[in-house]
Amino acid sequence: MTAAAPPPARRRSLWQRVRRDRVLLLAALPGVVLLLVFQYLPWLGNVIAFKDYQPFLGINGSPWVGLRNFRVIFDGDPAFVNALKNTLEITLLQVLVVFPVPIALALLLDSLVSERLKRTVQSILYLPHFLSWVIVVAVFQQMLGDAGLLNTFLRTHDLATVHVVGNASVFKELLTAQVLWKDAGWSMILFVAALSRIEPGLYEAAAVDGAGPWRRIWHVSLPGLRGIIVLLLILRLGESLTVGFEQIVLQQGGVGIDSSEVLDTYVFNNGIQQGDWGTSAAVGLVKGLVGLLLVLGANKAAHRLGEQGIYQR
Amino acid sequence: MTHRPTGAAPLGRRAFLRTAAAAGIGVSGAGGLLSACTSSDSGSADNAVRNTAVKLPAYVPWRGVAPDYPGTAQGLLNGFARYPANPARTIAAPPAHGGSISAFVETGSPIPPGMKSNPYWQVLNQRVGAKLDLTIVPAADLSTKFATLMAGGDLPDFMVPPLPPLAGVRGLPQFLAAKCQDLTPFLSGDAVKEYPYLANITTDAWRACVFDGGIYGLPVSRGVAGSLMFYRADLFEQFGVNPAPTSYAEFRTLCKDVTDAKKSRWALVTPGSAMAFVAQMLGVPNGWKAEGGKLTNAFEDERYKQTLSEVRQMVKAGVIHPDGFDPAAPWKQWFNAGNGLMGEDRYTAWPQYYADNVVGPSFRVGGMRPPVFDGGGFAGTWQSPPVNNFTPLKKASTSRIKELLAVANWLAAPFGTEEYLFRKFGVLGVDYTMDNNNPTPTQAGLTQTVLGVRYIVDAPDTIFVPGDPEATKACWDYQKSIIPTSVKDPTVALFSETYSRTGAVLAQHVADAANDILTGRKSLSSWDSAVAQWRSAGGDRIRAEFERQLH
Repeated sequence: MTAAAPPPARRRSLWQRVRRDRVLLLAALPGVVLLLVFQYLPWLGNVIAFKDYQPFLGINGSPWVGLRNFRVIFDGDPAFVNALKNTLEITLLQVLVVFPVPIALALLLDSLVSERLKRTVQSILYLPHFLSWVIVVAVFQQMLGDAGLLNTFLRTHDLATVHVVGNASVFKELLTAQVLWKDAGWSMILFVAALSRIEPGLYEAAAVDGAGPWRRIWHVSLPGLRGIIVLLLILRLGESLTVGFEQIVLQQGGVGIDSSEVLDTYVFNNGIQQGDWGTSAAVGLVKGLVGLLLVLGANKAAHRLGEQGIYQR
Repeated sequence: MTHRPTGAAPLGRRAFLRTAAAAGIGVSGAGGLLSACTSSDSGSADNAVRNTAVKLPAYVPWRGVAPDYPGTAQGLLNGFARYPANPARTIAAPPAHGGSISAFVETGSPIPPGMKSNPYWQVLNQRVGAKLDLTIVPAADLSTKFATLMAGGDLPDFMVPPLPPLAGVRGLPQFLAAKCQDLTPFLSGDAVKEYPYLANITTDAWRACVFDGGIYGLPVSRGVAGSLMFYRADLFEQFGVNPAPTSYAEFRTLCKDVTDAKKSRWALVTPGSAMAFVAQMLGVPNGWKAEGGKLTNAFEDERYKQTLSEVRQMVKAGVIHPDGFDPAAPWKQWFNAGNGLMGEDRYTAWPQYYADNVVGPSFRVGGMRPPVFDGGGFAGTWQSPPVNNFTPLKKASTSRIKELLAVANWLAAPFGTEEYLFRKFGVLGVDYTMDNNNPTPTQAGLTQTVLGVRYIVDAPDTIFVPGDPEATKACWDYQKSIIPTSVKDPTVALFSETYSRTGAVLAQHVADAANDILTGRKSLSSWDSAVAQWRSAGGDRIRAEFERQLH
């Protein structure tokens, strides 16, 4: 048996693989087309970041201006720097305060025994997510505004009033409170789902080994959530330059630009409202690139730490 | 009648920007070609000369009905106690010849139902003789939507561009020259007589449509009475307070007298209302002051700073609604509900307050004239620009433009005609009921008729509070009393590219600085640096662009 035929190639050609998976590929096609048309194609429009774009001239008719539109970033236009500073402060506050809350809520909810109670609490917590920002802002105004429910009560009882809505010095805290109220319950759902997948035997084993409730959370629940926590944290980092545009635009007037301008509102107020599309696109482009780098960087760090991250190598 | 809100808007962002008067920024109209796209080239003297050379449409007033309270050439509007009996249909055939006509319009009302579920719209199509394809945009979104409209490239037949104090169109004159129809051959001089209802529009209003040496749009004209301090006459009477202060000191006392925070009742709805009123008492310029070819902005005037200082005291004294700083504050509702007893608003809101009244028949509003600050007569009030907006037409063939102008002529049919009655109130028995020649809208009428076509072009404004001749008379009397001494903004009908583009953002920064002072976040002395910043960020360029066009 000397001239044994070489074993048939395990690897099929591209064409063979396409033929084999044709049904699946066909099923994926509409999604891919949508993605191309609505996500990738518009990216080409980013070319206006390098042009003095005027809508009535069109993209082709507008003159090239090199990096002029990026000047606000590189020259550090004070308004831009202020917007960046506010954005980062709000992001930091949200990562530190908002991010852990759904995890805590999920753990609390998980510790409830009655299924009915669990479901009711869960519904109450996530329903505010379905209210639009206009309504959430109005509700906060009605409750905490200077002529709102709380202050009217205080005033009629000759007590000192509290200045929350429209107060620049607590604006970021107010934003955070609104985000918490609106979205903490919604974000909790993912964690609740992850918790329900943890093998109950692990808890029993831990209990048998003498672990109290805290130790069970620390050694069983949290490790069970680690994957999803890392995943969501990485995604959050990618959005760290994006903070509640609608929420802020609605409330900006009362507190002033100094404390409320973030990158998105900066682009809106200075770029879109003034028809300065080039600068808007430039800031948006840089924002996107920074977000991408942060996601990739965080993902790499996650791999180093032995986590899966958002995708595997 | 609804219009872009002005007046009592709080001192904050978008609302503030619309408060031309309160902000002390003039709303400018037109004029001046811009060479290239750099703002420093805008509004050159050459083009001011070219624009002045344009022969405006002849003014041939329509005299079909006699007003109960006649207006004047100075800008006092005609007042009508009731709608003229048996209004005649003055245009027999539908002006359009089928097909469809598209328009991009603004509205200050809730967006009406679409064409299919809107019987009024369907009848309107029949009357016009074409399918009216309307894009109706809330006034607050006009700037953004118009920018995307231009980017889309598919322009409608009629379009309402945002004008300052909204963020304007970048390179408006170039846009008009590149994409819109020069109407000069159709409307200049006696040519307009082919469209008698367009000839019924005042010359001042047409002046706001001149750009790049041509007539580039149709005006939606307004009276110049401007904003005024509305007060709840019924409540003032109930509290026994005299609504005619003779000095600032008396005004402050009056504010304290009517305020009762425990009952959720404040004298003024917003700080913006107080600012505008006190500034007029002190004689702050209406946007700009022209002297020997030089312009000074209201912000640079020492008296504006004094206004800030006085209003800061009023905020401290708690006579202004505490949520009034919120730009989205529903101050009109506060006024109607009696939570705020005074508010600065445009004169056009007079009938609106009666229409929105939730109190019942006892409801009364009045106009408070600003006294001279230290006493001794009344102070001059600020005039508003003679147009609400102007509407360019997309470039088209001569026959198409003539058809569209015929439609515009129909849309401008004046008060007293059957066309006007149909346009504003709809179909008798469906959209409104007629009682003693007073049209009263039904619920269907209120929601369906607000299509915004009144912003394509409109007849000259009139004073008419349906069903309330007494209120009509009060409004007319007020206008009659203030117009002779009212102050014009010298930059009206001039165009500044920098102002058009950045005026909104500049005003925002100034409003923020003012709010910082009014709320006590910063001291009064911070105002000087805010003004310096305003100057360097564009204020000086705006000044230079306007000054080049001053004659």
